[in-house]
Amino acid sequence: MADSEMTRHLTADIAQAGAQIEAILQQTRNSSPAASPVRAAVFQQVRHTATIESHWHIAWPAWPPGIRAKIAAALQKITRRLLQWYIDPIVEQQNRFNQTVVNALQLLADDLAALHISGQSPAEARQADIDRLQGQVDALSAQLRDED
Amino acid sequence: MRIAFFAVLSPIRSALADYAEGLALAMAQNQDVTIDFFVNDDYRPDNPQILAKFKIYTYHDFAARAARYQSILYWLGDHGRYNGFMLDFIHRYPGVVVLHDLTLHRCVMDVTLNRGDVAAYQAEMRYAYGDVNALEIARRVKTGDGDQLVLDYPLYERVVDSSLGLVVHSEYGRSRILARRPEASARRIPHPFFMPGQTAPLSPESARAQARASLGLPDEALVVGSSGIFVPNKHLGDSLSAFVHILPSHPRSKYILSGFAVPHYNLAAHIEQMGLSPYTMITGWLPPEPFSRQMAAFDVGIHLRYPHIGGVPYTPIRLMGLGVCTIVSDIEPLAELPQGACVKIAPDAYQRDSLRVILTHLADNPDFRRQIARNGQQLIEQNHNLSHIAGQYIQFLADRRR
Repeated sequence: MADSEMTRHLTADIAQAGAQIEAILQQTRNSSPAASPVRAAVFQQVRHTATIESHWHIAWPAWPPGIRAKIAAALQKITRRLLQWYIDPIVEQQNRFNQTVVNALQLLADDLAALHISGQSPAEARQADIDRLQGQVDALSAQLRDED
Repeated sequence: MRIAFFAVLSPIRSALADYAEGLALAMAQNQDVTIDFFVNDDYRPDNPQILAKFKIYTYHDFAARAARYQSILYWLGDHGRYNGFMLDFIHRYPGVVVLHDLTLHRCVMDVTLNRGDVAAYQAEMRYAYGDVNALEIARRVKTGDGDQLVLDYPLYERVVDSSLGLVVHSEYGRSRILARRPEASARRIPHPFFMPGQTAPLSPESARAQARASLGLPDEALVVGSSGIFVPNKHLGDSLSAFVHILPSHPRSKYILSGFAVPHYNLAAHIEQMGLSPYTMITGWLPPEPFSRQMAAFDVGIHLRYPHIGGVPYTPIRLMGLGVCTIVSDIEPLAELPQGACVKIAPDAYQRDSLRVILTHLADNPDFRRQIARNGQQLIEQNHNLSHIAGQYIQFLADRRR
């Protein structure tokens, strides 16, 4: 097969597979409540606000113009440095808590989304989990028997 | 043409060492090319193939030998300890610089601020960006707030100004550099695909069988894998979470993590928390040869990366070249890889769900998975052929010779 023909075939194959992937991804975005724009926006906001900084920006990214403003900024920086020992541990504690909350929310949202996708009630989902685990136990038992 | 090649080499644990060696061996096939390596003075290169084929000097020897070379190739990444020694030479002995990352900020910080030379760092910042609060930027980069900042203040300006030519691996990289320095001579040369230490190419089937045998994995098991240095921005949590969803229907699946996690990132504990210990294997660091061979065992390779620092990751190229169905982040540096030759997942709030659905689909549809793998492999053969890429480097070096 000539090079150009091979390239044409490859381009067509890639386009075909690409279209299938795009369709799957689009469907995921459209159908899953986990991927709803509202959830996405809320999660983005939650993640964005989860980490707080221990200080405000001073003279950032450039020093302010004028000698008085520069002196004021320098004094603010010194004050901030003097209070650092007191503020930093509190901020760290708050950030750890925030991160735990974000993780917990993510887990809950994933569980809810999984339930919604499967169209099951919580009781049905539990039964499905039990069946799935039973299936795994059966498969592992069979594997053990084979190895014996 | 005699080329001085400044690079990191094995045993340095960097992907840059791995493919500097592969490219140099391919370039040296050209009868008109002679390459000498110049490396840092804090280690001894140990790749027998490289030791046998090339002369290797430390950078201390370069000044006395500089006149012998028509071209100098600088293989530069943003890791100060590995690459920082090159910066001074780039300015004193201009050559062609391969920018593997689209920032040198941390590298410059390492050789200035971190060695106590505050004035030198401030001078670099002033040279590139004028009157900015350099030390505040440095503080924020140091305290982990840096991924965007190091792209906003990439600090490659003086390197670009000093160079005779620049090589980047993506059009995105080229356009970023030209946006800041329109007069730069920047060329895109893609990564070459090669397998370290392999003299004859193996079919994907043989490579897969060998890799699985070495890992003790049965042929019928579905194997998902991720390779490299594991950092949080590779999103392994999402990959593992997607893997959990395929276990009920594919209970003999394995997730191979071929590489090691950086300090402070307790990947093993995370895996244990998820109850995935029996289904996963972390190999730890491996030399380039077994490391790359192992990838052939995967049915699906996952290499997410976000945020990024502008470089084109090499792992997806190798995975695809080996005929592995590869999932990557849909990021600008990988824009040249089309959807369908691999699977590209946008790094947004939908990532986790998209990954879960797509991995399940790939696990349940082996023909579709194999089609993507085949597409990827053919694309890599076409666009990332080692001897073609070596030829492009030689041509560019000849065009931009001293």
